[in-house]
Amino acid sequence: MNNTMLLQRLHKLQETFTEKETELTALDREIGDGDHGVNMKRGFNAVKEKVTESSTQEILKQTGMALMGSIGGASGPLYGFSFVKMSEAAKDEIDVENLRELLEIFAETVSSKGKVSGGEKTMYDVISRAKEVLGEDGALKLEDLQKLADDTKDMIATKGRAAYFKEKSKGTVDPGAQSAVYLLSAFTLEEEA
Amino acid sequence: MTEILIISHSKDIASGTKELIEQMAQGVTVHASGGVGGGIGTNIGQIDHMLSEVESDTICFFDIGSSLMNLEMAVEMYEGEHEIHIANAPIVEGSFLAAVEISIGTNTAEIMEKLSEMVK
Repeated sequence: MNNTMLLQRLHKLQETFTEKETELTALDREIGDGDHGVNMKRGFNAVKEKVTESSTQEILKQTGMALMGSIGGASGPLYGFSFVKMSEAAKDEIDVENLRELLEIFAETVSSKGKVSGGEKTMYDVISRAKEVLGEDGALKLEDLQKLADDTKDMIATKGRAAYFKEKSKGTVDPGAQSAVYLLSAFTLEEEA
Repeated sequence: MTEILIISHSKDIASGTKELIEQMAQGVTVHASGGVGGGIGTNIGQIDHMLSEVESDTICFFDIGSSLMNLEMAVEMYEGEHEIHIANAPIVEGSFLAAVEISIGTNTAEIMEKLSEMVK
């Protein structure tokens, strides 16, 4: 994936998150404060507006800065900062090997900054396991990622605002895990995403 | 002279704490910011902005929830020449102690040591 394709994919996430706003809001109403849908939409509106044709590294960095500056709560900084960290390791042309490396950095950043280690019903449960569903050809399929998010349904939240819902958080997919599915699917190395 | 940075979810907590410590330890530079867009919250941008204005090594204080995460990210991205420390001490008591110690000339390492003994 070269810089032009990466930019196209990131810009296209604006449509995705506009389309999925209601879904993410509904999930977040169940176990959070209901702002994740509008937050993600606002974040990728900013990406569409501010991130322009540039090098692969600069596109990732600018995306990170746009997300950090426009999404409230914990998810914006976590996604945004992860993009900034990924930009430091990205190659001009992202191949399977490089993508694996970027996923590793994404997971490490969310873990260290979000103080999560897995199984706590968060975005990390999808991001940290994305490498397991990454195909040898670099395919990162939406349906495979979705299974990872679905696994958070039976988990009990112990981090973030959802933790206040304790047992009641069971039965709902974590909104952060769900947004991570859409975000990560933009990185698939398949021609048509 | 070491400076102090305060990041809070509330504008009033930030400005109130700044007012308190500036009166108790005159001459100490205090950067304080709180709240986002007229409401409650913190963001990296406001911390970046404060960090761009520090003119010496700085000790940072934070309050609840995501303020620490935002502070850590801003410090990690800081490209300036000064040393930026994060104190895990209570925002009012910690910044107050730091300000007094700075005003009597205690060095930053010693202040950080004292702050680490304060339970949050």
